[in-house]
Amino acid sequence: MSGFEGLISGLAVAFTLTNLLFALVGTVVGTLIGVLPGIGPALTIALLLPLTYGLEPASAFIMFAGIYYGAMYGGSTTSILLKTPGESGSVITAIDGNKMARAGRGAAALATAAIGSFVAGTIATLLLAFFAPWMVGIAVQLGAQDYFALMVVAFLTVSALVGSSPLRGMISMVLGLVIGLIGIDFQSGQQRLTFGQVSLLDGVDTVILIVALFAVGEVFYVAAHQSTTVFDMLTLRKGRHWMTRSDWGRSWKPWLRGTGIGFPLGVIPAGGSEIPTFLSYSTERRLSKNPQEFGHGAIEGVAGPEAANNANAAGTLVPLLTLGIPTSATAAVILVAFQQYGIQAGPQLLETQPALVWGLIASLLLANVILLALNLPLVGLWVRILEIPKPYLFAGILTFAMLGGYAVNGSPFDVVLLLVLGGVGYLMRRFGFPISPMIVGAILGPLAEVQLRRALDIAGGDLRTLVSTPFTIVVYLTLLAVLIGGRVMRHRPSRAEILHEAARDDDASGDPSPENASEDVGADTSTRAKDGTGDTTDDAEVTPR
Amino acid sequence: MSHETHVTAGGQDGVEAERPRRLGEWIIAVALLGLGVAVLLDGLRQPTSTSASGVGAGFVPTVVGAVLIVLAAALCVQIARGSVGEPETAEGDVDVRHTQWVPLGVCVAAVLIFIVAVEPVGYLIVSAVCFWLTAWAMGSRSYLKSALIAVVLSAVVYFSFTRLLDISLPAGVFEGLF
Repeated sequence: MSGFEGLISGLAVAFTLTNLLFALVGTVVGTLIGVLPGIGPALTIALLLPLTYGLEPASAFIMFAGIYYGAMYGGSTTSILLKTPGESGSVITAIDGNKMARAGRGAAALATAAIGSFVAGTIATLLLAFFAPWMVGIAVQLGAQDYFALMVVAFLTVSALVGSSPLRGMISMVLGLVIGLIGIDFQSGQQRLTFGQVSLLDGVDTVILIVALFAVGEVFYVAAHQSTTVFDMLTLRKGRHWMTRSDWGRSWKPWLRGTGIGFPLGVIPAGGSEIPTFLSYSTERRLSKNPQEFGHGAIEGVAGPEAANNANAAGTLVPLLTLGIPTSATAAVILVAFQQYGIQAGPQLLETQPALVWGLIASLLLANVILLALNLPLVGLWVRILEIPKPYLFAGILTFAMLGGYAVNGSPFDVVLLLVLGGVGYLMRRFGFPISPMIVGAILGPLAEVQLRRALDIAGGDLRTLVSTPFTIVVYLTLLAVLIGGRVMRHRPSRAEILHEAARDDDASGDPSPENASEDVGADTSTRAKDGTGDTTDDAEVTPR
Repeated sequence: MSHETHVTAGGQDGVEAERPRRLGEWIIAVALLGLGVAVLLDGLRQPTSTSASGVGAGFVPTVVGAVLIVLAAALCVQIARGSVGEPETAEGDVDVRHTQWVPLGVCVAAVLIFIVAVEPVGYLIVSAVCFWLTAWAMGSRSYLKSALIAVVLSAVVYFSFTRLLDISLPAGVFEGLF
């Protein structure tokens, strides 16, 4: 089936009254949860997984499509309106988005983010539809060693390119691999790393792992280190214009360029949404006629990265749906959702479950339209949700996390795991180990082991089989290039530099004791937080709650 | 403006906090090293495989354990050279130079209470207690309002899960009542 035919058949699946309703519910719930500070797209999907337990697979995935894009959108709203964004894909959007909101142009920032997400999401989803069948054509010819090579790529790029330190990223990924090893070996039936615990024989449930690392770890982290019990929020001024004519003129090219940067980097596993958003930001700054505006509320600095972020999210679905390889934490959660329905993602998926896959892709398009239609008028409502007092929000996150952990198997032992892994999640945040590589490691690790041992079994244990096909050689060589190139790319506009620039800008109004903040992003944010009290000039819009 | 909850973070505080932080880094590195050894030993302990390749259950754990040992050693080198991790920026101002042990302890206690009590006492009560404790730990000081929200939320969750979604949650002391 070609992409076009597939898309038409998918739309036919999605355009029934019930499925439209599921798409709508998914989008609204996804935005609702995604807008809450501290909850990113991956955690949103993991927490909402129980809602779909009772549904038909087709309806469940249509709902997922809505949740996925809704959560992405909700996240960017939060990062524009909250002074300290957490999620990596939104860090860049937040810099200029914050500045715009402070200058009373928050509505325009939200609008360019929403429309940019729509444009990027739509184009990228169409590209996904046309790429997927082509990719499957290649994927069916791949052997076990080729798959293993691709998975090695995913492991290394995801761990080495996410976060600030490649070493800490790799350690995080290996910790994930260790978690993935726990339980009974699929081939020999031997127990591994179970330490005699019967409850560990089935391994660590992935939902538990995700909820523990993202939710419980976050609650512990904020409880132990919060410097204020209120969210520093920027308000939207009533009656302000959305986008002016000049905003449109300045936004549409960054939307398209962002899409062009984000999608391909999602298709090849190049390590999360950080790189595409950084790349888009620096591209826009370079191409802009007034680069000095960047960091002070340039609308291009919101439009481009936001489009790149969304296009990247759609791009990661290509390897997920066609190869069964997740390359981001969110994709990993979606893979888990597939597995819960006994559906194996991979090249056979399009053959065996065409209605499901095309229904999902068509629903992504649909979710985009719903999001645009909902969010421009309803943004005021989402902002109200942000006003939930911080203690209640985090108490809610922890109780829902325990509920989710308990409900997976109805056993308190899973909550014990939740506590232990939540402690690990806390330490990882505290000491700068990125979380996503661990999730990808835990989910992809067992899949990679299957391919590795299959390849070795076929070759009679000869390790050279792993580099025996032209495909594997090309892949490993490309990997080398990407790893070197990726480090170079990251160094150009380094994360600390951009963040520091934004912080220094706050300091302009006068911090009498500037700290040596350039080394440490943690220190950076605290400087910014403190400034909220000091300067009244450009922070007139800030209403601490 | 109600910023009195801000923790004042001065310059020399950072220097003072540096020592426990470096100690923490060392503890993490050593723990990772230990975990690597444990995984390696678990891999080596596996019986030899009878599969076509001779590669059995022990192969991957052995490799993963060895890699973890190497990475942990590399981390030790980095720490010795003075590099420390960049703490994550969370949504909602955090400052890792200060650790509030009491709130952290209360949050951990809330989870422990859930583990121990959810089945004998029941979801309704335990979940409400956990919510209240966490809200307190996160800085809520309107005790009655927290309690009210806790009870309502836990009731809504309990009944929508058991009645609407058909997922059973322990009734505990209310067994047979609803």
